[in-house]
Amino acid sequence: MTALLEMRNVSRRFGGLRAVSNVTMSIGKGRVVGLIGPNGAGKTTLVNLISGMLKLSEGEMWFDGRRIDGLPAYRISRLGVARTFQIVQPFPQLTVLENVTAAALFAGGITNQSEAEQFAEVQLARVGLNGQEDLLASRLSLGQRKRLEFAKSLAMKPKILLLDEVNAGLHGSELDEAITLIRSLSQDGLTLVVIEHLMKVVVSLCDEIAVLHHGELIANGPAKDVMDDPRVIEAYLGERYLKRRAAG
Amino acid sequence: MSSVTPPLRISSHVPSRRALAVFGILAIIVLLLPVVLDNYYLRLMTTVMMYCVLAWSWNFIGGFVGYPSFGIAAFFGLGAYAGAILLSSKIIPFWLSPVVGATVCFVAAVVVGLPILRLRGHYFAVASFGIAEVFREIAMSWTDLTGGGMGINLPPQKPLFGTDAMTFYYMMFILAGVTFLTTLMVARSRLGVAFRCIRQNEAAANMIGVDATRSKIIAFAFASAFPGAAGAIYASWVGYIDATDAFDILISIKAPVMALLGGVGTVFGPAVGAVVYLVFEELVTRNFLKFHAGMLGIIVVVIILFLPTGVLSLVRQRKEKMS
Repeated sequence: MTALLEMRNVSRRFGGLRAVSNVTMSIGKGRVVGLIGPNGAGKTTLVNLISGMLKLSEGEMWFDGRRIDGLPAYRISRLGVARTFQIVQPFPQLTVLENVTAAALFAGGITNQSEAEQFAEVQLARVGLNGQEDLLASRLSLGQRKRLEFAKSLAMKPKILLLDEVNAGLHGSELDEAITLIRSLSQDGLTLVVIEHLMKVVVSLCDEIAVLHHGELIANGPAKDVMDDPRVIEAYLGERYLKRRAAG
Repeated sequence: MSSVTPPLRISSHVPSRRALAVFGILAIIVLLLPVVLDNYYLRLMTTVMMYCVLAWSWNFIGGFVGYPSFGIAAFFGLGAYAGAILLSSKIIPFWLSPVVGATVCFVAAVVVGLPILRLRGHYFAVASFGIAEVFREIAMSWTDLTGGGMGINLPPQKPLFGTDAMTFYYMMFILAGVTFLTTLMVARSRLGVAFRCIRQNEAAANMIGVDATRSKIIAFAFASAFPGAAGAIYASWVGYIDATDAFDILISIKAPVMALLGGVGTVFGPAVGAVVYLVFEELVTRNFLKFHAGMLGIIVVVIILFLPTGVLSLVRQRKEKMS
C-alpha cells in the first residue's frame, strides 16, 4: 500500500494550547478513513493543517510524494487536496453552476471556461443538483448546499477529499443519499477522510478509523480493532456504548 | 447569427451584445462631440471621461474584488507628478506621458499592494487612505524633484488633435476606452471569476485554488495604473500641479461614490455613475453656489439610500419586468 497522505509528528499550538499534538499517520491511496473524537479534539484543526489554511507548528506533511506543509492553500488545492467545510461556504451571489465551474477553473485546472462549465454540469448531475444550475447558491436549502459543496470538491479533480462533518444537519433520506454518494466516490478510487459524529455512518463507510483526543492520536487502524480499543471506548464512545453493544 | 459553442452561463455578469451595441453607438457619438461642442462643454466632457476612468479603476479593486480602496488619489497624484517631472525636464514626448504615468503607478501599486492587501474591510480602507497622505508628504518635502510647495509648471505642448481642448478631450477619451475594454475583458475572463469569488469568500476562494494574493494585486495594480495615466494627462491639461491638488482626497472619495451611484461591480455602472455625478455636480454648483458641496452630498445620500444597487439597476429591473 502506498501512502497518499503522510503526517509526520504534526503539531499545532494556539498559544499554550496544543490543538494537534505530535500526530503521525499515513493514509493509503483509495482508503476511506474515519476521523473521530470528542468536540474540541482537533479534528477540524487537522483538516485545516492538511489543506494549508493553518500552518504547522512542528512536523511535516507529505502528499503524493511531495512535502506540502508551508505551501499556500491554493497550491495545495491544485495538487489535489479538496476539503468541505463544517459550515458550508458557497459563493452566495454566484449561481450553483458558477460555484462549481469556478472550482473546475482553478483547482480543477480546466482553464477554458466553456469546458469547465460542461465539467461542472457533470458533477452537479452526479450529486443530484441538476436542474438547479441557475439558482443562486444563497437560495439553496442546507441539504442542497451540502451537495453543492460535494460538487465543488469533485470539480477540483481531487486525489483526496476531506469531508468535515458533511452530514451534520442532514436527516433521513438526505443522510442516506449522502452516504450512498460517499460510497460511490470511494468505489471510484477516491481517497477519503471522513470527520463524522454518527458512529453508524463511520462504521458503514470507513475501512480505517483514527481517533483524536485532546489533539493526540490515541488509536489508528482497521475499523473493527479501533472500535474495540478500551482507550477509544473510554475517551469517545463511552460506557453506554459498551453496555449497549454487550446487550445487543 | 449563431455561434458554435453554447453561450457561457458563467458570464451572466457581463453585458449582453445588445447592451454593448448601445454602448458602442454612444461611444461614437461621444467621439464626434468636439465637432459641435463649445469649449465649456468640451471641458465638461473631458472631465466626464476622466471621472469614468477613475470610477472604472476603482471598480477593479472596490467593485469586482470588494476591497474598498480610498487610494485612488495617491496614484492619480503619483501619475500627475511622474508626467509633470518628465515633461518639464523634456525627458519624454507629450504623448508618452500617460503611458509613463500608468507604468509608474502599476509598479508602485504592486509594491504598496503587497503589504496592505493583507488587510481586509475597514483596515484596508484606512491603510489605502494613508497612501495618498504619505505620497503627498513626500511630494511636499522632496523639493529638488517636485518643487515642494511651489509645485511644477508644465511646458505647453503642441496639440496632438486639432486644438488644445480637443487634444485633452481625446486623450481622456482614449484612456477611458482602454479602461473600459480592460474592465470588459476582466469581467469575461477567468481572472474575473477569481475576483468575484474573493469578494464573496476569500478563504473559500483559496480552497478552490484561487491565488487570492496574486489576483488582488493585479486588481489593485489596474485600479492604480489607469488613474496614474489620468493624472499625467490632467497635469498637462491644467498646466500646473501642486501636492494639495494632485493628491486631493476628494478624488479618492469621488471614485467610489460614482461607482456606487451607477452600480458597483458592474461593467457599465461606474460610467453611468460618473455621468450622473458630474451632472449633479454642475447643476448644484450653478444653483447653490454657497452650499454646493453640502447639496451634492445630500443628493448622493438620497440616491444611494433609494437605489443601493445603483442607477443601472433601474434598467435591469425594467428589463426583468418585461421578460
